[in-house]
Amino acid sequence: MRPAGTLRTLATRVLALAAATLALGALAAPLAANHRPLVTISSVGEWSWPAFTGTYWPASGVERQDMETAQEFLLYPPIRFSPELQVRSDRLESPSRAHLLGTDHLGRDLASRLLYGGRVSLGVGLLATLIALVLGITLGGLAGFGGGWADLLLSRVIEIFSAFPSLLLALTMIAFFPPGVLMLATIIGLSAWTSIARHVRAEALRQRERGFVESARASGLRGSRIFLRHLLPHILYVIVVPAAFLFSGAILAEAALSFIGLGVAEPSPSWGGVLALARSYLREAWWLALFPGLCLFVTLSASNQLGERLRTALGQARER
Amino acid sequence: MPRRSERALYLWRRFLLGMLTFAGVTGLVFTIGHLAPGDPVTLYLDVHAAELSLEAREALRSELTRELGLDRSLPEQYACWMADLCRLDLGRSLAPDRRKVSRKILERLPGTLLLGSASLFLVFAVSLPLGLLFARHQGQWPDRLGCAFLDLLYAAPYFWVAVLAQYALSVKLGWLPFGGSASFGLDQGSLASAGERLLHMILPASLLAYGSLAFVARFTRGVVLESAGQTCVALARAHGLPGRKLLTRTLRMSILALIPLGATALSGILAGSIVIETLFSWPGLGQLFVEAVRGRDYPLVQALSALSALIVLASHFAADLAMAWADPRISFGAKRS
Repeated sequence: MRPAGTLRTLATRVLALAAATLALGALAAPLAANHRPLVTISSVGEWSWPAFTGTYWPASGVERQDMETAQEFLLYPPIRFSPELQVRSDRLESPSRAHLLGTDHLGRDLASRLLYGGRVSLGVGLLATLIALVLGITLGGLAGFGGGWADLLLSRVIEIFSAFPSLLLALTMIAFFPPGVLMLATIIGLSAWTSIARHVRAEALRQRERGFVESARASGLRGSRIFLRHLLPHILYVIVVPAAFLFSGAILAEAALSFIGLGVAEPSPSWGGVLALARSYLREAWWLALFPGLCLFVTLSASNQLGERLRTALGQARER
Repeated sequence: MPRRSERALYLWRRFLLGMLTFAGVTGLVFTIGHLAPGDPVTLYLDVHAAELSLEAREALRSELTRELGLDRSLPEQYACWMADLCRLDLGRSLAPDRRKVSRKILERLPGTLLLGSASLFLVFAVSLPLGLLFARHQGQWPDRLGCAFLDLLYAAPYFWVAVLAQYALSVKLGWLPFGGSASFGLDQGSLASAGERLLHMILPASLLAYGSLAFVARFTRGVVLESAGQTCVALARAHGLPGRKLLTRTLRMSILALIPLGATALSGILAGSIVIETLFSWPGLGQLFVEAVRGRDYPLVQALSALSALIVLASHFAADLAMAWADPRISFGAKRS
């Protein structure tokens, strides 16, 4: 059916665009959401860059007006609020021209917090994925390529780690280790590597009997070198798709943990954390519930789509 | 046909492997607890006994250290913990009430069982027919539209949808209770209280199910399509078998692939129940686990994470049993990887 098809393509494009905007916004958050102006030119013609240098700039009130009138030229970022800036008079403000997505119970601008939250959520997701990839490739490769005792032992380790329901292992570790963003990423990575390891192991088992491995071995290369230089490139294609879903999973895990208050702690913004706040103000502030979830939704669906696309593309490439 | 003894041998091997994995799980849980910086007793004293005098603190410290076995060597501690675990003696919780861990778990178990089984039922009751429907109309508009919709569902985090549902159904419309497991002031066991309970369960159970819905429906669709593509079904179709009979044949073949899916869905529901129970203040194990993690209640955390891994392993073994029973073709001699 053509109409459904075009609608779907359109939806995919819109989602991809939104996700790219979010990612860019998160990357450039200090320049996109800041209560300091980007550029000022004072009346004596002096240029300064408060948003870049982080110099003092009054957040509100008469002082701010004085500062503003003292300048010849001012350029503010698109969102004129820093994520932790509390404007007492603007508490629980609904979306408006001043606050695009409204404010929370402390008068902090939601749009600004979500952009900064994206740094945390995407950063933790990326780092956790990276950790899981390194662990999965190393241990899975060791099991599949090494064989014998290594395989027997590592397969048990993989089984042990995957016996826990996804969030549980992470939560168990959180109970014992001091929380923090880096620790959180490590913990999520540590509890998510088994799917990669399984794929790598299976593929290594399949590939290690092939001629090029044998010839590499015959020419006297060390095992680690054979694995890294000769076998790994053949294996990587099987983990591209799982890696995309791993990224989604890591972002979801971080959001879920922050949502139940055991992930990224206040006042640092994270999508899950903002959503958790929404529960207490559900009656007054629907925007607190809607927008952080929308950010998660856009990111997750873009990354899932990417995984699907890669799967189809790789499948077609293999058939050829 | 494999002989009976072969099947028994295979199942025994799976069982022993499962036990071995469980031993590994306890080892992992134990190791995590002991790699951690800072010791639980100090943390407990800092949180719960700050106002005690110095002597009282020291007395309490040595008592707790002895009780938790922290004065012994690590292998000894692990052996003791394992022995206690086998005797189902899980020690006392480190929360201020110092009640028995096993008592706490038993108290919350019914809540989770009720919620979990309801949502497991919902998952399959909704997604099996959906998967079948999509597979039947493969490539046509119901399938394409449905799959696109499933993709959307899959990307919308279940706790977000849960908050939105709370907003719409209980805050705005007032149709369903906001949280908890029952209203106060009703007789336990009366019909009204049972109805209340059911009402309180609707939102958490359906949102817990929602988390696994898209995945299970997609998987079902794939499995049904795959078995519909097999030669015997094509043969049956060529013989002119009516659609209904064709469907039952396809289904019978799909069931085999769907059995392990039950175990996977259960694992997902266990993970989801942590968040959902916390969100809806549903008195179950998930909520207890979050409380335990918040309160750094080590004995409780260790017991609960070992327990949940045990449930997952048991469900995998149950799936193995069911597979062995349902599929005479499983090669029991061959090494499974």
